[in-house]
Amino acid sequence: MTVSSRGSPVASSSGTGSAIDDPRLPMRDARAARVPPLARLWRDRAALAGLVLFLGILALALFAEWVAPFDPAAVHVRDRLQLPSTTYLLGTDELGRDVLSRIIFGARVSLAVGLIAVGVAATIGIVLGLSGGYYGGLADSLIMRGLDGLLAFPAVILALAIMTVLGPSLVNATIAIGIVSIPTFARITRGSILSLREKEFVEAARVSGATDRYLMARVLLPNCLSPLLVQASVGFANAILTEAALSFLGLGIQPPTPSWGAMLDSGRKYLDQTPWYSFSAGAAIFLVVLSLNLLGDGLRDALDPRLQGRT
Amino acid sequence: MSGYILRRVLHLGPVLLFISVIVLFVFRIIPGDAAVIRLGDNADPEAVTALRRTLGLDKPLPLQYLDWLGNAVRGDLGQSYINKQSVLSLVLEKLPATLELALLGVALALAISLPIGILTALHRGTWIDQLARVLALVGFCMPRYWLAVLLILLLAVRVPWFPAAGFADLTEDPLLNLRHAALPVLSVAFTLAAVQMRFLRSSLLDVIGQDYVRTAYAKGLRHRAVVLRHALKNTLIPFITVVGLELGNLLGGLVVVEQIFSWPGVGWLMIQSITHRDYAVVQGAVLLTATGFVLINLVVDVAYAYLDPRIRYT
Repeated sequence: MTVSSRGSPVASSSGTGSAIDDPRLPMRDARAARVPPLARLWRDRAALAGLVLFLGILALALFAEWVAPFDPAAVHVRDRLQLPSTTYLLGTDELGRDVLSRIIFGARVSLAVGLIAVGVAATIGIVLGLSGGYYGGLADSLIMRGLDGLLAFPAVILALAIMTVLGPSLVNATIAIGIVSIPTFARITRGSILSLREKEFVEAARVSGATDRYLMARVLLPNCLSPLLVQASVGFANAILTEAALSFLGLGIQPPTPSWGAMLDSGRKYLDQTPWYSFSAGAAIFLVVLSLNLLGDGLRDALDPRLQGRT
Repeated sequence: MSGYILRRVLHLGPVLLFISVIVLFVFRIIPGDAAVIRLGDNADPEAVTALRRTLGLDKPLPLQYLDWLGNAVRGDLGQSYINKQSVLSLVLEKLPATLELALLGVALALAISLPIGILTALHRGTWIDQLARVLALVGFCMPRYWLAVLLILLLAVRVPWFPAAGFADLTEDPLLNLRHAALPVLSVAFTLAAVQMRFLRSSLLDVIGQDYVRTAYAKGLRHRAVVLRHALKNTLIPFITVVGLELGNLLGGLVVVEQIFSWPGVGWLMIQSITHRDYAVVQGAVLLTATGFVLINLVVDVAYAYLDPRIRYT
């Protein structure tokens, strides 16, 4: 893990003591300083491709009103189940709605659900992991056993169970995916805190009178951001996959809101007439998951202290 | 070793207890009353009260939990609201179909990933390696349900080699069963193989950088012999763990695949029961799936400690 230390000249969580990349530090490794993480990420062509792809999809989602050729809900009964043409670039669905426009607006839904679910899961997970790891004792045991209980469910099954109870809707899908994603964030935070807790720079901050809250938020948390950042991108991809799976099963986002998972499901009934309908919805999910995984892999490499100094 | 196994088995108790609490908690906050769901919205209030008493829903929640847990431990997970069949027997009836998909999927994935993973490590940096890495990345990011739809499109609609959906009993007509299983197994195996290939390649390359491998090179062994005889053995141990954990995760992934191919396994049963609001079956199936998941993870952990003499958990 890369350590960007605050309030201390010596910090490393890797145990090797060589991983210091903060250019403000006097004791930095000269080779490592040559290639800071952001520059390494920039030079990683695969990660860069992932970033560009993701930003492209994000731009489509943000500017959907201007980019999409049709209103995603506009029904053209005469043009039902059309193959791709110059009017409808990806064809139309069973109600004659433009598939491309629905995919573009679907990006907004998928990204929003993924982002909110991961945001909520990360916030709750980090707070639980930080307090469990920092205070230890009974609170830690209780938190961790509770999370073990959640982890004991395959993610899709737990999300399914929660959706069964809450009923299918956009908000409920976000809640279910958020709950399912909490344990990973909590475990990563806790693991990092346990290895950082006894370091000299934390001790130094404590001796100089820092409160528990200050230590947790300003000293410990900034030092375990790297693995959390990687997890955020991978978790984002997983959240989008889970949302699409739930919608595919009819338990996620409900019509007429465009959703990639639901489109993939409806489209498969018309595979022999217009395969593009189902195909393009699946391709959209694939591309966004690919972009996030490329970015996650790049981040992991860029932030890995063992790879520092490599160009 | 036996101490470690004992500790892991003892640890299983609290985890299973937590699972049961979560399952009951989740399903008891179902909007609406289980008695009303069963009898319908227009049911006679007296009948609803009577049924609530019979089901034990009038008792305080902790007492309901203890009743339910007591029954669950004895194998009584309740009855289906629809056909009055015992939930446990319903799930056990569907289990063989799910296991068939899971085991065939893992076996096919291994048959793909082992040779290709080793080949990429042997020919690192060549076009074989590059091609395999791209394929693995594609497989890794490809949603299983999309792959399933693509396979139906290509191998059932365009070229009608395999049925697009359905099931035949393995004991009655094994050949027809395999024909039906082909597409679901392929869609399970491709994504699994991708994960396994990525893992095998990276851990083989990790091991190749170690001192004992350098020694093997130094004594004059050829690259192929070093990789196959020295590096591979040490890579297979964590690899087996990954395969085992994937088998556990498959329990969730199969829900969608079974639904797409109308394959009557536990996942299919779960979705059918959700659609018919047969909550007792959903609850039982979720509880049993989570228990299965935990048990598989336990076996994997113990196998890991057993296989790797360096690991003796303290």
